[in-house]
Amino acid sequence: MHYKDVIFADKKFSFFANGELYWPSKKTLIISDLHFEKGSFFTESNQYIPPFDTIETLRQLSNFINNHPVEKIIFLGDLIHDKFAFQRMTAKSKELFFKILKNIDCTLTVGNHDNISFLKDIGLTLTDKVVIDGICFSHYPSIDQRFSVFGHYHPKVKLIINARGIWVACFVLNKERILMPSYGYYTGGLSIKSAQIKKLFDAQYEIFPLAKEKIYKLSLKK
Amino acid sequence: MIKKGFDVILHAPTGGGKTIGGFMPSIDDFINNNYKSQEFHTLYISPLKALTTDVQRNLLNPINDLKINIKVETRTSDTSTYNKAKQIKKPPNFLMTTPESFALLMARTDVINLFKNLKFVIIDELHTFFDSKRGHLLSLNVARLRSIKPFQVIGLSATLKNTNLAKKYLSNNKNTKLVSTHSKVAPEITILNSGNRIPWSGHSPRYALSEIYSEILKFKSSILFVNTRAQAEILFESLWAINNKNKKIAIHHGSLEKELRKKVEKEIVEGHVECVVATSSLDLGLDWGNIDLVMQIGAPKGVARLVQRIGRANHTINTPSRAILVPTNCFEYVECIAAKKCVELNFLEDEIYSEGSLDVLAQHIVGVAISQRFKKEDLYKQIKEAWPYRNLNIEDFEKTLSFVENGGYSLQAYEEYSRLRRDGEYYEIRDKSLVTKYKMNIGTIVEAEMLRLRVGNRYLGNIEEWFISGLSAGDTFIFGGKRLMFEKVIGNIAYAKITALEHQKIPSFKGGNLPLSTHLSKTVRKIFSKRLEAVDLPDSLKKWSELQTKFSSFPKENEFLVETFKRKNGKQEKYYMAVHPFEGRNTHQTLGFLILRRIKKLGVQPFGFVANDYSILFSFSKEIEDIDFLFSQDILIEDLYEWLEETPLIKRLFREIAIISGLIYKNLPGNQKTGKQVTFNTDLIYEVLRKHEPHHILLKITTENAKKDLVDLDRLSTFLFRIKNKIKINKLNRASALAFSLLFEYHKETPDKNELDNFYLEKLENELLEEVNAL
Repeated sequence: MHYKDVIFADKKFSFFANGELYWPSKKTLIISDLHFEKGSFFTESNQYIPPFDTIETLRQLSNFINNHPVEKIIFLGDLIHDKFAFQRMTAKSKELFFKILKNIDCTLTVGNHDNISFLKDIGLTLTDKVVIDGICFSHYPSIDQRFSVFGHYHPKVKLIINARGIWVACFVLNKERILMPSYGYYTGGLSIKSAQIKKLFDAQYEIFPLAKEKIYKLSLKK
Repeated sequence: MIKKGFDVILHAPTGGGKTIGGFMPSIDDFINNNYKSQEFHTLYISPLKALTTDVQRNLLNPINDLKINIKVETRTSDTSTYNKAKQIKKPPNFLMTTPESFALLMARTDVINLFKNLKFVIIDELHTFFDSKRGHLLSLNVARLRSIKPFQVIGLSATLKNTNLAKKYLSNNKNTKLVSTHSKVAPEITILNSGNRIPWSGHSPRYALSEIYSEILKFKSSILFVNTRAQAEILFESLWAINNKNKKIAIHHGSLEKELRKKVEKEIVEGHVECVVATSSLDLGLDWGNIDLVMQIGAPKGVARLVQRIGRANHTINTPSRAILVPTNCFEYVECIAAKKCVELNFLEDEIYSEGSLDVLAQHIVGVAISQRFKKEDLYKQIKEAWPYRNLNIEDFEKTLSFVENGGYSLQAYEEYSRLRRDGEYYEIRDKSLVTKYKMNIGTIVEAEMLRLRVGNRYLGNIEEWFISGLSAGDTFIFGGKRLMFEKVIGNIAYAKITALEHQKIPSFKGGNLPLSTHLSKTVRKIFSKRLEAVDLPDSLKKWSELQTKFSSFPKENEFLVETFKRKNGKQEKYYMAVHPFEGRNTHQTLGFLILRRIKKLGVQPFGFVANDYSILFSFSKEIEDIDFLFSQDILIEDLYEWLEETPLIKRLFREIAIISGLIYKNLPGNQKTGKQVTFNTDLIYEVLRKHEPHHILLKITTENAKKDLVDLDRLSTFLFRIKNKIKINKLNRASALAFSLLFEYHKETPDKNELDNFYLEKLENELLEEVNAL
């Protein structure tokens, strides 16, 4: 699995090509915005998208867990796309997900899509934020904290290849902040040039685009 | 014949009065039967919105003269909601509409009552429907309407070769009669003779610009047809640069905002515009009568297409239409000779047809369900009455129906949320919210992702998302004949402002690239095989032909010419192979990819290939011994499917199918206001579907469509069969004249984009020319 090591808050982290953030010394995995059952959500508007996104996301996650020592997972919010996600989830997906919850210490920092009443009592710690070694993990950026790792925006960046723009998901990193890409299969994104993201990264920052199972590094100065 | 109740095809050249002719029996019936009520009597269906208003106008003249009380109205996507509602309350007698608006009428719950006294359906430009998804949609609705109420169908066409096909399409071959008139004087076609050297490569008419301009000056009104929108923009701008006589020149292409197009069309009719540069957006129908000259700039690509375009000039029956062909390179010159010959001999292509596509069927089934509940067996029977679907088997039908119901996934069902509900034997829609979505997403033409282009507070038209995505703020480009500077994109709107700066990029819109027809390609091959000396050629072309004969050769009629040579490119030595199948760009693209794979299999490192309508040029690291192996027929079995699965083209095709079939909706209520697009990434859907549900009906449709449209499998296999044991290999010590054009293309792609101005291109062409020893 392709990855790049970065130093953040004096600690070593790894950005993985599928969008995982791994903290080796703590054996901790951080992933964000899984949006379980986004595909089946659209039956509401009579669109019958192939309902295999959750299983794809979970298989990718299991694959990571099987290949790296993971003792703790922090889901950075928007685990489910809507409150009925678990009702629509297939038996196979549920089996995979609950197996992970059973074997690994899992925490969800609640996001705007997460309906707490549907996430209680399934072996998941629910909280607003997790702070480890002075680094704050939460769905939204924690502006009052020195070091913040967050999701919510689904950052994407346009790479120009052969005079054509191609959008890919990415990590965004500066000295104080890490913005996580969305880990869900069908999730779209917001350009890193949009005002919402720009105002969070006003100094020098780096982006790590995820393209074709590889991760790259681009430095941008404003 | 029409009076006897037969279905009729009226085949007459443009200007033969066929449109009015097609309406005569209908008007006759209207008068004789004292038709008074406010009911639909005749439906006129045309592929072009513009035609509906044009025909309405032309029809109203005799109707008013004869003082008959027939109400004639149009109904298209341009018609206001208010007028549409009015037409349902008090239907006009004659309604002029398009296949899409017709489909929407058919999806109404009151469809039976609405058409209970319908007598005639007139389909104009019939030939455009045989091989298109629009044609499939139309045939399904005509078949359904026939099962509700019998009526006569009249098909109109100016260019029709395969009349049997037309009969079959029109009414499943039941008693269709043909009325054909061929009295028209043959058109006068000339190939423009410019004293300047015809370029060996590229697609620019710049060498003949002043001659083109002086031809325009000679005539009161003219149309200059080009093949792509990019060419239209360039030609338009170059003509204005030399327009010292202030001739009123306009531009017309499909991406321009509707109002702008309508304005130009109106000005042509009224004679305010004297010359219009146009793409295929003006190919069809509009009866202007006052066009004196048609020019075809660039390759004609097909005979029927050229005839159609020439027919735009001089809509009177007794005088010849005048047309001038302007080839933009040497190959195109030969193609023009071939096309001219074919037109003179009235040697047209056979129309091709396609089997009814299942994505269109899925869309149709939703329409039917919205209109009435149905039984499966009845619907199946009715659909098979539509000629393109005559071979539809029950399995495919059931799979399509199940897809419409709830996506048709076998591994995991969406049963609780399904689109259709079953009530005993009947299928019906689950809830009414589907109606709006169906209406907002009807149609079979899926364009590339488009952004609306806004300058100041006006919209100029639609521009491809991928083109804009390649621009940075401050880049300049031409659109609608205006020089613009790109500013930003917000939502689905691209903002730009007028600029005076030079060095524009031209949006090189896709889709304007029709391949050379099989028919024309055959004639071109014939001309080449007989050696060009037999033909009267301008000097620069003679030079080209002499060089080819001197250093290589022209392919004989049944020969497949392969030329190999090497060149030093900087320090590196590259090997080249130029092959000349003359089978059109699509076929060459596919063949190019397949051959590239084979070159790799031979252990040779390929660098790439370029293809045009005539040839393919490969470059690689060392000499290839076994050229016959490269072109053996089993390439279609071994390599084709592997290639198909990995090409990005198939994902583009899948997107089209996902949208037509209603897997995803492009437009949803409420989204248009916010500009927010809830479009799924169909590439992801395609991949996940292949992995989890490889036998899904949408994947089957994609493969079927790809074999035909992407690969043109029939043409490719015919070609490989044709060249078996007929490969002629010329080993050369320099590039040949025939290979030149692609060598140029190949090297054009390497330099930095910014260097790609005209100066650079000319320099490159001269350098290459010197090398080939041509100057």
